[in-house]
Amino acid sequence: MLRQDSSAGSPKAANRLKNSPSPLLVMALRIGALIVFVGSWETASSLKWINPFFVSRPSDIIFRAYTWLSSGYVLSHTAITIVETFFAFVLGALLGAILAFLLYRSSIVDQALMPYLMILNAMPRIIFAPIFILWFGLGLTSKVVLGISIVIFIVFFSIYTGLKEVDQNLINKVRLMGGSEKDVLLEVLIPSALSWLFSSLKTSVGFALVGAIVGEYMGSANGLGHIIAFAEGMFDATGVFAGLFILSFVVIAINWCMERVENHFTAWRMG
Amino acid sequence: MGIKAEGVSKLYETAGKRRQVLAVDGIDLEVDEGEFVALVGPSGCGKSTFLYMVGGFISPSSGRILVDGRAVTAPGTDRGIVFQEFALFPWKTVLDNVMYGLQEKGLRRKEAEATARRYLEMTNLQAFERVYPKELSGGMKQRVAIARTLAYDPKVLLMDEPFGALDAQTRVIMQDELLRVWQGTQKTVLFVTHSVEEAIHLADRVVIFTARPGRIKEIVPVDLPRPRSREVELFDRRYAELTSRIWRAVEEEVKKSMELRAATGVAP
Repeated sequence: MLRQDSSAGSPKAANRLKNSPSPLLVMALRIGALIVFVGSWETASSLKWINPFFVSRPSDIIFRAYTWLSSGYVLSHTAITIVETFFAFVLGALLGAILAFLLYRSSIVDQALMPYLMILNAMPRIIFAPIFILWFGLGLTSKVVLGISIVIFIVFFSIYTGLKEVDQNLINKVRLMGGSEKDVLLEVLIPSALSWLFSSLKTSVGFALVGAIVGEYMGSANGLGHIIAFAEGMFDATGVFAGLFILSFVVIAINWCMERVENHFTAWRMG
Repeated sequence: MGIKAEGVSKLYETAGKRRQVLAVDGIDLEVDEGEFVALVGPSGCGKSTFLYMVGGFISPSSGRILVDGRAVTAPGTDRGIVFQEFALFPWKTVLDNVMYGLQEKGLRRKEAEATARRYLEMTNLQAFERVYPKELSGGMKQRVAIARTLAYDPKVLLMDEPFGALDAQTRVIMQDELLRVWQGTQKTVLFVTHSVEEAIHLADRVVIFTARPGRIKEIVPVDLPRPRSREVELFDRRYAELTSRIWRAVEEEVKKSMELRAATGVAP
């Protein structure tokens, strides 16, 4: 039963009270779930209920990650992955945005190219990784190109939709206030496009990273993907999990930064 | 700055001229400087099309429109338009929204800011200048849109159902605010609305459009004294007579347009 007090008078407030447990409890449950999972993994592996050769052990994984970090081994690889992600995102977003503006501005180009863009987007880009490595070598370029090939479509489709939905009245209004075509572009179209770019930021940066990692995994001498592939080649399960462990922190850090950037640039959307 | 329309028609054609729609047919209308004219008529009768032709967004198929004696060929700062859906810059604050047209006009930031603040005060928005449109109610958004339009001082105000998206109470308040502002500036106003009451409350003359193709069916002068108040209108016989006369004319056209739609199967 619910205790009734003045603030919980309305059905809505009562509902809220009933439905949201205390943050402390949530935190305790989260930590509890982690302890149960990691603890049973550690126990099962230590007692050889499951074969540590295949699944490793949390303590080994964390120790390995720590060794890699303290020796600096993993840092240069992480840096390379981030650089690849950065270029893949920036170039992919730029090309995607240009493409979106081109198709938005010219309906002939739109009608002519749209089916091909749909087909290209439907292809799983991961399959292209070996081909890009063949074309662009084992270095940074092939990973950036793979990332671009994914990011470009995400950005293209989100900006294209965004431009199509731009308030026509606002464009008319700008024209009536003495605005030129350049003003329409700078004051209406580009800000709209940017807002759509920022709202797809986390997805597109995420996929730029996927492009980099998969590219490295398929063939490279550097990067986090390479570390994971290398460990796998040595049948080193601990190395694979340690690589994934570090990678997940990189992803969380990037997501956190992107959220910051997104919130900063889309403050006007908040209610 | 008056408006003069001479035999203005608008014919829409699909590619290959397979389908033609005559939206507006032979409009002759003269609006004096400082006059407030309301356009009423059934949905799809071309009253908005006519308004956009005055704005310069759509060019007439035949005839011509003169604003202050010059033919309209393109949008320009001598005319200001207010849309039903506000059309604010969502990524600009209230103040920046109002300042836009002023800076476009070549005012320096300081001057633009001062002017914008004056109009925000006029529309009771001074406390919200740093806020984004998202945080405002519909009525407040429309006040921003009106302040933005008034700020760059167009001589002609074109209003396309500006209060159509507002709730009934806000609507009444906004109408009176518009009248107050208009009486202070004496701009020429063309006001498209669906509401006969709104048209009579606001306008010097009410232009009734026919069902498609839009022609002028009747022009009714509203010779009620200003300032007008709702309480007086409620008990004034002339107001009641005007309302029923205009409403009967509009109703006739609305029925025609519904029959037309039923016959052709074309949605509005």
